Amino acid sequence: MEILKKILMRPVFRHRLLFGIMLPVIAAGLVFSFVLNSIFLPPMIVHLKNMNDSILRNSAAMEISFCEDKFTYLLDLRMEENKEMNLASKKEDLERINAISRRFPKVRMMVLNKKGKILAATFKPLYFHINPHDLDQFLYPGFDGKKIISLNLFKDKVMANLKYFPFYQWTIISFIPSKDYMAPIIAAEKTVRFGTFGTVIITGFVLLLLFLMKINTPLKNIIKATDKVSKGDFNPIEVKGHNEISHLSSAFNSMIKSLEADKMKISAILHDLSESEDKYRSLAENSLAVIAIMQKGRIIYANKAMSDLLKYDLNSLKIKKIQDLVCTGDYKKTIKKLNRLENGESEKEYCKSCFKIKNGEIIFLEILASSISVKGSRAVLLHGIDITEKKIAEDEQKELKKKLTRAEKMELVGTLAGGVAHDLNNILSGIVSYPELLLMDIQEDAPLYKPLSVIKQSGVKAAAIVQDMLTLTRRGVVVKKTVDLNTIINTYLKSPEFKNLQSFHNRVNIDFNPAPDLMRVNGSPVHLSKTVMNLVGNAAEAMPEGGIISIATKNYFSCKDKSTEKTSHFKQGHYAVISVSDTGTGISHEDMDKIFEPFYTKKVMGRSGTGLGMSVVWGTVKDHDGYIDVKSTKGKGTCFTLYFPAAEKEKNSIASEAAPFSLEQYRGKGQTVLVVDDVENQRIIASGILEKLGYNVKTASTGEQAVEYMKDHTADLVILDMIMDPGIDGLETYQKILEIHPGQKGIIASGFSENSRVKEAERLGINAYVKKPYAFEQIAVAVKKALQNNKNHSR
Amino acid sequence: MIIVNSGNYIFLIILTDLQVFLYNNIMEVIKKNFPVATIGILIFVLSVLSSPLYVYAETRPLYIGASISLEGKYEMLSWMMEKGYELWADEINCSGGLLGKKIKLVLYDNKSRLDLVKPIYEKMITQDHVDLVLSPYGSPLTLAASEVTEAHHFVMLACEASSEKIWKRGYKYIFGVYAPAGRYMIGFQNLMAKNGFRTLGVIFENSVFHTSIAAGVKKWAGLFGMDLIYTQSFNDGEKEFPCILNKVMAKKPEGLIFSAYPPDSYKFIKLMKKKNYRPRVLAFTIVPAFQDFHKRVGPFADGVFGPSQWEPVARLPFPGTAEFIHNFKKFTGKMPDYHACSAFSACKILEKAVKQIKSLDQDKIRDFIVALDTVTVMGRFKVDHTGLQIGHNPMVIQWQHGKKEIVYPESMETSPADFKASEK
Repeated sequence: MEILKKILMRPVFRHRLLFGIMLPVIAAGLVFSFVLNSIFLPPMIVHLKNMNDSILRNSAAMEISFCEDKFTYLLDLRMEENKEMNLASKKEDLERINAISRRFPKVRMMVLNKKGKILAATFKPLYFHINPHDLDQFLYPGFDGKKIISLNLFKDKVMANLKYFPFYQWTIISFIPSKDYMAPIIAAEKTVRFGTFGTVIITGFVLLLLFLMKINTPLKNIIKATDKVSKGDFNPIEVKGHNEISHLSSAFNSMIKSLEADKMKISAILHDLSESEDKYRSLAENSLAVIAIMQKGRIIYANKAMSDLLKYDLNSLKIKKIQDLVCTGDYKKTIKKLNRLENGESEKEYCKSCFKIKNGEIIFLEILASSISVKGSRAVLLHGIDITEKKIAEDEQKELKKKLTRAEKMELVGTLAGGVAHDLNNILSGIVSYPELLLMDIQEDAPLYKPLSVIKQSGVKAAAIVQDMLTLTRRGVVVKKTVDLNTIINTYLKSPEFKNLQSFHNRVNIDFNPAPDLMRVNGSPVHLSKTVMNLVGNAAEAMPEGGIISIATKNYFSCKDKSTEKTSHFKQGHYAVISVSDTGTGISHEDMDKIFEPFYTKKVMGRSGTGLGMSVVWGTVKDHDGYIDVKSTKGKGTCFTLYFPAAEKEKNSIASEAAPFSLEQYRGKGQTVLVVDDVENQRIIASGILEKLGYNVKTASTGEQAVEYMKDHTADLVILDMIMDPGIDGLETYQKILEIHPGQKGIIASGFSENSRVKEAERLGINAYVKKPYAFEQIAVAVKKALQNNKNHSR
Repeated sequence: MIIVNSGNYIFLIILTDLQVFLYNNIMEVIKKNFPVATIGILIFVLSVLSSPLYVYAETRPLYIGASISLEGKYEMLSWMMEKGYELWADEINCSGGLLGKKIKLVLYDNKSRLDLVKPIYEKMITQDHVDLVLSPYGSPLTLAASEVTEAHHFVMLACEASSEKIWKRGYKYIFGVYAPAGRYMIGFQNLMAKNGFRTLGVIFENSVFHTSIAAGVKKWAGLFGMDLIYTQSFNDGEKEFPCILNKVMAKKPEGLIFSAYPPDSYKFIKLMKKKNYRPRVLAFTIVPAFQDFHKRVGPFADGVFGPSQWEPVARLPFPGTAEFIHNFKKFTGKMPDYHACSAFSACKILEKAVKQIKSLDQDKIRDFIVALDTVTVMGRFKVDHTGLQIGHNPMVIQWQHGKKEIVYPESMETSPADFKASEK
C-alpha cells in the first residue's frame, strides 16, 4: 500500500488530469463489475438453475402425465383391473421414456418399481437395482413433487426430481449429474465476470485514447491560454470543429473577453476602493479622536490615536480586554453601557470614563459608542476624545468655584463683620480703655477694682471676637514674626484658656510630642496660638466621654517631583507641621467640606462655640501660606495636620519677649500729640490715656480738620484713625499733613486688620499701627516708640 | 314457420316454400288464361279443403312424475335435484314442450323415508298415468323406486344414486348418471398416494351408497399400494361417533375418508373440532360439494377434500355448462351443485331420447339410452348393458382459503391439491 501510495503521489500522477480521469474510470469499472457480479449475476444463476430445474420437473411431469393419461384411459374403459391392459399400458409408458429423453437430452430418466428395480432407463445404468429405502427419505408423506433434490446415484452426485405414480407404484426419477447441472451456471459466471472485466478494461482504454485525441490536446491549448490570461494576455484561442471542446473554447474566449472587461472594471473599482480605503483609513488613523471596535469585550481594531493615547502598540491593544483598560472606578458603568450595545439593547451610548495607560497614569475619555455589525456579529464602535485636561480644568474649576463660593461667603461675612467691627472696636475702646484708666487710679482693694477688672476683661474678650471676625475677612492685622510652633503650643498648654478647657473636660488627656529641631515659621503668634487653641478645644469637644488629644510637631519637605496626591498642590519647600488628633466621634463625610465654613458648628451656638473656630484655623493657615490636611474616621477620631512654610534662616530669629510694662518707662515729656478720630469716645479715651502718660494732647474730629490744624500748628506725633467717614481717611490725612510737615511722625489706629492702606501709610512714614480698641499698654508703647524713632521719612 | 302461443294451445300454420312457389305460378296462369284458371282455382280450393292444411290440436300435457324429499336427511340434496327438474321443465315448456306438448311435473314428497317411495311411484304410474318418471334422491330411495318402475317397464334415469348395487339386480329400465360410488374416491386416493401418503382410514354410514364408497376405497387402496388401517361403519352416528373418533385418533391414519349424508357429516365435523382432531388428509363425501360448506364449518373446511360429479365452473369443457349455471342461478337465486346438474342432465337425456324416437314408448326409450354415448352439461354419458354409468368419472374438490377448487383430474384442475391447506 505504501509503495502504491508513493507512486500515486508522484507529480506525474497527481498533476495529470489524464490519470485523474482514468483512475476513476477504472474504479467505476470495478464498481460496475462488482455490481454486475453481485447484483446481476445471482439472478442469472438462479434463472439458469430454474431452467435446469424446470427441465427436470417437466421431463418427470411429462412421464407421469403419460402414466396418468393411460390410467385415465383404463378408468374410462373400466379396465383398470385388466392385467393384460395393465401390462400393455406399462410397456407403452416405459417406451415413452426414450421419446421424452430425446426432448430433454441433458436429462437422464429411469423408472423404478416398488422393489427398487430399474424398469426402464434412458442411459446405461451401472446396476439395475436401487434400494427403495434410499428414496423413502424423499418420498415422505406430503413431499413436494416439484422439489429438486441432490442424490447420490451410481456413485455420482446428481440433481433429481422424483415422482411417484401410485397406480403402477412406480418411482420416476429425472436427474442431471451435478457437474452437468452446474456447467451452464459456472460458464455463465465466468462469462459475466470476464466479460465485465474485459468490457471495463476496453472501455477504459478506449476512453483514454479518446481522451488523448479529443480532449487532452484541446485542453492543453486552453490551459496554455489560461496561463496567458493569468499573466494578463487576453488573446482568444483558436476554435476548431463543433463539439464540446470547441464550445468550451468558444466559452473560454467569451470568458476571457468578459474577464478583460471585468478586469478593467475591477481595476477601476479597486482604484476607487483603494482611494476610498485610503480616505477612510486616513480618516480613522489620522483622527485625533480615539476610534476602536470592540467585540466580545476585546478590542479588535484601534486607531493610532488610541494607541498613542494609551501608549500601547496596536498589537498589544488588540489582545487587551476593555476591562484591562478602564479604571476600576468607572469599570462597572462603562462595561454596562458597552454590553448594552453589544447585546443590542441600545443603539448608542455616551459616557466619560477613566482609562489606565501603559505607564500607570490615567486619562479621561469622552466616549460616544454605537452598535455595528462586524462579520455578522454585533460589535461596538467607540469614538473617544481625550478630555483629561478638560477634566482637570473642570475639577480645578469646580474647586475654584467651591473656593469662590467659600470666598464669597467669607467676603459676605467679612463685609458684615467689617461693617460692624469698626463701630464695635470704637465702642469696645470705651469698655476696654476706660476701666484700664480707672484701674490705674484706684487701689486693688477698692470696691470698684474687681467690677472694673471684669468690665475690662469682657471688653478684651469682645475685642478678641471682633478680631476673629476680622481675621476671617483678612482684615485683621497679621503680625509676622518668626515663631517657634513648639513654643506657641507650650504657651497655650500653660495658658488660663487651656486650664479652663481642662476643667470642663477633665477626662481628656493631652499628649504633646514636639519635634526637637522643629523649624521656625513666619507668622502671627496670636493667630497661631488661637489656631492651636481652637483645634485642641474642638478635639476636646469631640470626646465627651474623654480620650487623648495627641499634639505633635515635625518637619516636612515637600518635593514637587515626588509629590503624592495628598501634597501634590503643596509648594516645594520645608514645612513645619502641627498635628492635633483625637480619639473622638470623628467627622462625617458630609460634614467634612463644611467644617471650615463660618458659623458652621455642631455645638450649641452661644454656649461653647461661635461657629468661627475652624474658620479662624483655616483663615490663619491660609494667611500663613500653609495647608491643612484633615483625616477623620467616624467613631475613631480626627486628625488635623497643619503645614506652615518654614521661615528663612536670616529671619529665623525668635521674636523677643516683650519686657514687662512699666508706666514710668513710657511716660511722655509733654510732647504734642494730635489725635484724629471721627468718634468722640475714641478721642476722649485716647486723650485720657495720653494725658495720663504726660503728653499734650490735641484732637481733631475729621481729617480735614486735622490738616487745617497742622497748617498752623505742629505736633510731635499724629494718631490717625484710618476710617473716618464721610471725610478723608487716615492715609489721605497723613499724606496731606506730610505735604505740610514732611517727616511728620504718626501712628495709624484702626479697628481693621492691617491692610493695603495701612501698608501704604507705613511706607509713607507712619511709625506704628495700633489696633483698636485702645489698650493702655499698646498705645503707651506705640507712642513712645514712635517718638523715639528717628525714621528718616523721605519720599 | 310461424309459432303462435295462445294459453295452453298451440296453433301451427305451416306455409312451405313450395306452396309459395305454387301460389305465385298460379296467379301468373290466372292472369294469362282466366277461364282455365278459374276452373283450376276451384279444383285447388277443393283439394286444400280436403287435406290437413293446418293443424289444430288441443292435447293433455305430458305428466312427468318424481318423488322429492321435503324433509329428512335428503332434504338439502333433494332441493337441488327438484330445482334441476323444474329448470328443465321450464326451459322445455318455453321452447314448445316435448312432442308438441307442454310438460307438467307431478311431484310427491317422500320425507326421505324409504317406505313411502314405492307407493308414490306406484300411484304416479297407475293412478296419475304419468308419461315419464324421474328418480328420487339417494341410492336407497332409488333402489326402492326402481323396483316399481322396473315392474311397470318405466325407464328411470337414476340421477342421484350411484351405488353399484342398483345395477347388479339385472334390471333393464334403470340407468346411472353419476359415476358408481365405488369410483368416487379414486382421484382422492391417487392424489394421496402420489404425494407419499401411505395409510388411510374410512368411516362410513351403513347404507348402500356409503357402503359402496367404502368398498371402492378398500379396492383402490390396494391398487395404489396404500394401507387401509382403519375401516368403520356406523348406523347411528349420534351414538357411535365419539367411540369411532377415539379409535381413529388412536390409529393415526395419514388420511381419513368420512362418507355419510350431510347431517351426520356435520355432526362428525363438530366432534372433530371439539376433539381438536385433524388428520393430515381429510375427505368427506357430499358435504364439501355444498357451496355453503366453508360458511357452515368455518376454517375447518380449508384443506378438506371431497368427490364431486360436477362443479359449477364455467370453463369446464362440457357443452352448455356456462348457460346452465347462468339459468339455474337466475331460476333459483343460487349456484347449482352437482345434484342439480345431474337432475338437469338426466332430464336432458330423457328429452333427447323422446325427441329422437318421437314417442313415449318406454322400450324404445330404453333401447335408445343403452346405445347412447353423449356429453351432457355434466360430462360424458354412457352406460353399460346393466345401465351402470361408465362414461362419467368423478372429480376431486378441495377447499382452499375459503374457496372450493377442483384439484383432480389435472385436465380440469383449478388449483393443485394442497396437503398443507389445513395448516395455513
